[in-house]
Amino acid sequence: MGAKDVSHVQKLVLSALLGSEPQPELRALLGNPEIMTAVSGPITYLLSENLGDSVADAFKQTSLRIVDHSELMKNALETGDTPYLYFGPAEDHGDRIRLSVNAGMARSVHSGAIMPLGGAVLEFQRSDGGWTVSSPPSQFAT
Amino acid sequence: MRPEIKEKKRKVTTAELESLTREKAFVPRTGLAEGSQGEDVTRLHQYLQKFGYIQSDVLEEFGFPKHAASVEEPEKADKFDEKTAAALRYFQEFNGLPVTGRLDEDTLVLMSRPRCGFPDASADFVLQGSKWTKTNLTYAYSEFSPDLSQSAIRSAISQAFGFWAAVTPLTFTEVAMSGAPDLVIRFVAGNHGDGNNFDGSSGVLAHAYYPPPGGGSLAGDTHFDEAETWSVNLPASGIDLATVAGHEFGHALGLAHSNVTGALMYAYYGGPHRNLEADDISGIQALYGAKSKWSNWESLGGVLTSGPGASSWAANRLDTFVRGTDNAMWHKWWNGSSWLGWEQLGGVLTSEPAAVSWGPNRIDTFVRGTDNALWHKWWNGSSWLGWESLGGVLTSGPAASSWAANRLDVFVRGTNNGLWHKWWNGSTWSGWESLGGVLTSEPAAVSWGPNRIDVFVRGTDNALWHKWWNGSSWLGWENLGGVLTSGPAVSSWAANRLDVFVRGTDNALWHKWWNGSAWSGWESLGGVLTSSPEAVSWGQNRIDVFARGTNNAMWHKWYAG
Repeated sequence: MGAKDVSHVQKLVLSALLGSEPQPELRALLGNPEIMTAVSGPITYLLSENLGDSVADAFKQTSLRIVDHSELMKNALETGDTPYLYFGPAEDHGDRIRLSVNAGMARSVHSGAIMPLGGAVLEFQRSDGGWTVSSPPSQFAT
Repeated sequence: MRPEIKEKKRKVTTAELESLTREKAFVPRTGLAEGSQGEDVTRLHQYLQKFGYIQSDVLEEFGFPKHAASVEEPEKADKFDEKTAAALRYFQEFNGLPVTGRLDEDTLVLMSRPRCGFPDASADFVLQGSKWTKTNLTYAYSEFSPDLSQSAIRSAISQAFGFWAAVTPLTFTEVAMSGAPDLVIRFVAGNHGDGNNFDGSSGVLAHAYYPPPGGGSLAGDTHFDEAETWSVNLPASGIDLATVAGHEFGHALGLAHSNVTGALMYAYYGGPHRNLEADDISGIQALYGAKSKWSNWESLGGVLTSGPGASSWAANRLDTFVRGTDNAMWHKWWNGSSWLGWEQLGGVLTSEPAAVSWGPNRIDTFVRGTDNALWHKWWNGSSWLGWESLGGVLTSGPAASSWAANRLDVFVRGTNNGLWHKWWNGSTWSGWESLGGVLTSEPAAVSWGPNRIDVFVRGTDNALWHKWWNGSSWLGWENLGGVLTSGPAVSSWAANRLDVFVRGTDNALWHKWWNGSAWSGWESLGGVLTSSPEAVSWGQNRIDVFARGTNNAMWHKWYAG
């Protein structure tokens, strides 16, 4: 309950984005240009803020690299503009969780400033001991 | 949208850019995959870099963004590694191929084709994939910003919507929140209930949800961060509301961020930017098409008992003529700034009038009288003269054209249902010349140049038929198709340009045009007509069309291209 559930739905989102079989409702995320910007490269950078405890372990063998702000900025300064993902603070309502998955760009100029570009707000509903997306994602851009 | 500070870029010569983007045949072997090595891999890397799938400093420094989807340069130029595979996957995805990450046959075939040397992933608008399925959108304010008066906010928001409305068929109308608006506008801070919190001053300025279905339950909604200081002044004393609103509404209409630096849809705010750039226009028109250059229908009042006639003797001058309830001819005119009339010109008409002008401040009108003869009345620049009888037995209203000063050509249907022609050569009226055909309507006539006349009629098959004088002989008849429920109207705004208008079986106005080399299809221009239309042009790319509506008033629609 709580943090564990948030980690679970975050893993569902990341699995959908990183190539595993997503829930059908999560496939819409693959059409979001901002999010696809962040996951199309050989490495997908994910900011550690708002991230559930067990998420990092679950994606150790994948192209996901979990970084904090300073690592992301350093990477941008060294290698160029770096797209990244991050989760917004989850709203945990017991049997319902709402969270946003966002894409941004760490700039190689402006001292590696990080800049959100857009994303999607998702609502999950507990069902049969698991979590499913309860309504189509609300996709946005900044 | 995010704030941005501009920085200077190294100048790269076009020669450097060209060397990177120059076309080259690409003929490596198929089957290259992770682990492959050799010259073929080097050439594959060169290709992927040339077209933006592998990062390139030269392209970036020339001004193309280092596209997020392009990958870092592989460690070794001749080794196919995971970065090569990622770049190849992106190439395959972009081009709609199976995403294998290998140089398979499909991919090689595509790469071997001749193509534009411009990088795929560089300069272009981006569509999110959702769009509104209607063009008349509504919006409402849920919250206002205390930074500005409500009227100042409304003005800036209206201006921002105007950017998009000016180049598309989209319209934006404010309604109350209770009116189920398509777009809800909010000025809110921090956690504002959509699961997508704002971040305080600076950072994210606003966000907007894409149209349905991508935007989900919040589709179209546009939220401005109330933690910002919003401004409507120039120079801006805070964040320019019209600029940010224009950008956000682009998202709310289906545009993602553009890769073009300088486009309104570029991701970063760099100060007031109250206009669309070419890339923004291309993007929005890819979704909704271009704005029609036709006006809506405008009512000009009156009670008509015939279709109208119209002429123009100068730019921005229009003269219209109709039969009134007293069967007399009535005149209404546009003097360049307002409509004047109605003026009664007398007579007893048994047809709609025809009008033509052969020079400044000159108008000639023609009607059928109670004796079925052709009658003529004209304006000589200072007064109306006539009526003059020109004889004949007409079974339709007349049409008139002029191809030179003091030249008039009049066309009517005779008792044999054929087309008949009478002309004024500057000193005398000719007799009646038979031009044949079997007409089921009054004719229409226009001249687009010296010694040129084009005549249009409805035939017995209800199609549009065309006959023309090329300076030495009459040619035609040419069948132009369609199913007409009225006589035609025709105008010309340039040499070798013809615009024909008719009423269709749906009683709407339909348009077909000759562009100098080919006839268009039929374009519906809407409306409900109860008469034949009339058309006139007073300048290049300008057409004015008149018709009687269901309320017997005269209606006007114009094209300003």
